[in-house]
Amino acid sequence: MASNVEMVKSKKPLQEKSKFQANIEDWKLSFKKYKILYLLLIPFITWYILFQYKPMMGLIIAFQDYSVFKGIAGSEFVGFKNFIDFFGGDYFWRTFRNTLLIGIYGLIFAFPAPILLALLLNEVKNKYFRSTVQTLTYLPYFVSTVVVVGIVINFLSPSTGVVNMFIEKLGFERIYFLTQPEYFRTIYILTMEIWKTIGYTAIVYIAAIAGVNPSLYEAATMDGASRIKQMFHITIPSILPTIMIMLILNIGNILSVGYEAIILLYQPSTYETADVISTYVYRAGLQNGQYDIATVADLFNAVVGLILVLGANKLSKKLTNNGLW
Amino acid sequence: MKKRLQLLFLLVAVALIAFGCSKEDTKEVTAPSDSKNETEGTFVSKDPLELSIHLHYADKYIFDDEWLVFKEAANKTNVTLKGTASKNATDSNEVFNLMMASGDIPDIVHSSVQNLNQFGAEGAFIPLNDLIEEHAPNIKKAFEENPEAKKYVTSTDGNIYTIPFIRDGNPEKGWYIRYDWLEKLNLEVPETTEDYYNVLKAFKTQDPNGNGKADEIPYASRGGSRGIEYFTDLMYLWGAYDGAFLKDGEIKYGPLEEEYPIAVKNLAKWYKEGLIDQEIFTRGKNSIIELAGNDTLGAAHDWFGSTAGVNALYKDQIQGFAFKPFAPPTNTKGEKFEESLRDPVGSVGWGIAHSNENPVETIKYFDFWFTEEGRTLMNFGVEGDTYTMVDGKPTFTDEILTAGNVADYLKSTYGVQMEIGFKQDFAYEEQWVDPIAFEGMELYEENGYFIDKEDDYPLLSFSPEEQEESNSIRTSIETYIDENLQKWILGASDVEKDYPAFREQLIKMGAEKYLEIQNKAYKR
Amino acid sequence: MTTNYILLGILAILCFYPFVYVFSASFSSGKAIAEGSVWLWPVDFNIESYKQVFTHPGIWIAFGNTIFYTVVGVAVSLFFTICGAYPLSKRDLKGKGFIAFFIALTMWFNAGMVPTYLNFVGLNLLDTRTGIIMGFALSTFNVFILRTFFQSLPESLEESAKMDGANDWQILWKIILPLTKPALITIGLFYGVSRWNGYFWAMVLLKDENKIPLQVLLQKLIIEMNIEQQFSIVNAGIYSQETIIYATIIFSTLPIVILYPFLQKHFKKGAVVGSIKE
Repeated sequence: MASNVEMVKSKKPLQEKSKFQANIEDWKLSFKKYKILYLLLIPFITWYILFQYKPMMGLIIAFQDYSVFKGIAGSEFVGFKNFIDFFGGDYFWRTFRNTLLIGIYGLIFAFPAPILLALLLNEVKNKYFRSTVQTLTYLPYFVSTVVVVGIVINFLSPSTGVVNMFIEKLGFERIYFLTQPEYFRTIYILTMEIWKTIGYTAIVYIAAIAGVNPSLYEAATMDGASRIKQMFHITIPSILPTIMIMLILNIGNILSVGYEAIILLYQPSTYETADVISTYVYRAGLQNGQYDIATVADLFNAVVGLILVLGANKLSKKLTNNGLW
Repeated sequence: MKKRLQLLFLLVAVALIAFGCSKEDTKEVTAPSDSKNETEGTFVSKDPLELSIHLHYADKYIFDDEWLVFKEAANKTNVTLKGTASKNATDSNEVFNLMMASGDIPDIVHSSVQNLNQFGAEGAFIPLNDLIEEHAPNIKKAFEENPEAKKYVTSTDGNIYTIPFIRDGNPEKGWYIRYDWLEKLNLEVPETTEDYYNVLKAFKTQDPNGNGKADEIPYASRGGSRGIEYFTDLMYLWGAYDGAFLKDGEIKYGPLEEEYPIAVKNLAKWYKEGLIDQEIFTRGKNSIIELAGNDTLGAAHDWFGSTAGVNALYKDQIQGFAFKPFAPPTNTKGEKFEESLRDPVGSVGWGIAHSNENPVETIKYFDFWFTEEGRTLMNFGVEGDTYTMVDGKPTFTDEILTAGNVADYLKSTYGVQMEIGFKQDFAYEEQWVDPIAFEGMELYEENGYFIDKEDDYPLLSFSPEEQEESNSIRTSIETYIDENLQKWILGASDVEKDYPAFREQLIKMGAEKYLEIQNKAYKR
Repeated sequence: MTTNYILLGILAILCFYPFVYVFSASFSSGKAIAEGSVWLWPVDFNIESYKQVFTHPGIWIAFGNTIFYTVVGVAVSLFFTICGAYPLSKRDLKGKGFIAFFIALTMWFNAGMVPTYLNFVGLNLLDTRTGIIMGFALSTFNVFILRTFFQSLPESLEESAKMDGANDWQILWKIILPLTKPALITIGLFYGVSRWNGYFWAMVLLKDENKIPLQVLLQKLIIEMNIEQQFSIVNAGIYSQETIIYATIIFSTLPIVILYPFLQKHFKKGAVVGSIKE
């Protein structure tokens, strides 16, 4: 090692060669140490090549006037025309803004919710209560979106919905929630991103908490630390890597707001906050057979997601020494 | 002796000839592509021919090789169809697209006219014009009798790629009202827009359901496909339209016309006064049942056949329940008509793939369905199995008539009424449609309330570029219109104030260009 | 701490409600549902919807298929995931960063439906069980989660094992995997749920009716109940499309729902500690 450093300092042309050599040295060492692990990686990487990267050529249809019949080979290349159409639409900026806002609010409100749930569950001593709550909160994930939305609409009904009945009891006027744009984001995030998924997503954090060394807690208790202090100084730092990875992945998905639930929940009068990219594309019937434009929307989401993840990953590595790659 | 022998010989000869001749009647036609000789027998192919077919529409109707109707057709034409579409798939669009992408296109493809035109232009399907001319006299005749069908399937390059499903029957929707409430409140059946308003107002204020609460919902709707077609049917009352419409040979756009703000203003007023279901936007597709069941439903404008069904459901539960059709009220422009009319042509049909090696036999097979025999077979099924002749009219068996949803049962079980290329016969529907609905349909027919087919909004065929542009503009302007419309109705803003700017914005977004494209296609 | 109990209790009830509704609705009549009279208890109690589901041709074969795809699928997925997550969790494994980036990309960039379908055709995996099992063996998300769990194990564990002469394989099998039980169960559960509910690709890729899983068959049943608005006031009989949907939800999710409490046992705290010689 020392000799390499000296070489680097002295002669320039040798610099690259030795860096390269140093690299090869590292690789050789790594192979030696982790022989079996590299072997394990082979089927893993092969899978990705076969099932993910091989079809990726298909992304080219975003640049084509694609016809399923003519196929990729036979369809005309149109460069960026599809992109211009996509970005130039009357409603592009509004739908982009809505998508982004829902994504950001989701990060702020929906992301911490399962973490909170896992932490609270951790504080419950009665194992039957804990187990019951865990199971019950996990249930809504399995009820299909259509059904959950139906229930939400019922709850929010101005005439028979429980929410409005409650509001009236408090002395306020009933509200036709689903037609008011200012309520849409709250309703969507509360129901689809929290209520429906909190229990299922919490599983990751529950498992992470289960992996924390109990002796750490014992030591802290002996030092007289309260449970809350323990939560902040032991539990959370211990599961921080898990939280960071989840955060980075969620940031990358910030624009992936699916259309299924929104289509069922929105109204034209709430378009100004509810109409997102995927719902607009859906209404234009573009999902039926016009794969080129759908691919453009996907690519757009992907590029933005990737840029955000690159940033988030760098930040995470700086702050916690831990990142996606 | 010689004479008797000669006579015997003659007799035997005559017998043989007679026997031979009658046998020929049941023999297959020996000249396969020589259609001029094919007057006896409906066989379209000398040897038994098997053709593959892709048929998967409405997400649930998937070709079943066991369908009685097609098996019978095979007996008659010597052509057997084998379905290729996966029975597991529940999305017809996906299935079609994947089939096209895989490059393995079956001999016959059933799909939307739009798809067949689009891919026909790319070479996936063959033009049928000449084949029809030379080998399909019945189809030719059907096109002469149904010119709008021919126009619809003729693509912008002049080629016909589809033999379409030709509908029969006019009725779609009708005006329904609680006759028992009218009686209770001593009201006449409304004849004009103003009458209608007064009646709805009376429903709301005079408590016809007798429970002491003003919970009546005079007008409700099951909703539509565009998202906001809930009450826009009512725009008729002021001579307005919520989208494109045909008038005096020209396609116009409802929201650009002067009647539009007037209609909206009135509808907002009605909504405010509680005459329109306050939750009409979110009540969903069960609204009619829900409100009928709660005895709060007053009136609706909905599909004839199905809406009448509430009567059977609630006549026992609610005393005197009578939800029946009445004539469309005369609108403020003095017109009296029902603007919903069945499209004369279905938007689906079937075509011949470029890889089909027997196009002549195939077109003849298509032609079979337009013969009297073929038409009866597809409309009613097989005599003895699905229908019997009663007074010279094919009448469905009890098994079918008691099947719950007859139309669906016929299709899924026997393949009857499949929307292939054939001409439907409304008589099939008359047999099982709800009698109350039927009464209403007759009322409308006899009084000529249904608009003429020529005045109905036409089915248009576009080139792919036109289609794309048309779709793009339409999504934009519909988004803008629907958003504003709902706000006006809810009272969140004032239509009279907003309208001039609204109209200008529509034009800026391309509404007039949209009309141009439609008119160009119409006048082709 | 009582606030904790109250908060959690309210959340649990709120989350439980949709399931209760679906359960009750599946035993109600179509008419009652359409009228909106069902909210907590069944109305017009009947088991017709379940009868329709249970007697649907092929339902038990489909159920068997689902079990097959789930069990085999989870095993295959766990294998591949460990193959990736474990090496990638080693701090000084050369190339781990690049590989991590390589697989991460696939979470945002994917080919789209048609190219993916054509890929299966090209690999001759159309209408095969192998295609279903192999084609969806990996979820990059799960790989990263498992990797994070592996990373949380103290390095001293491995070092002491190496000093005792164990090779990588033994370390993996005898030490690492047993200690990361909660993680493996979590990932296994995620893969399992995904397989169990898996519908779209099974529908698109499988033509043979004997190979389809439960969800595909149930979806078929639901679509068969679709009746055009113009022909029927719909949803007004003993059973309707809606009650069938509810029955199918209960039928297909009950096994997974019942399974979960049993798995929770393994999320015991300190599962990791075990054999660390302090």
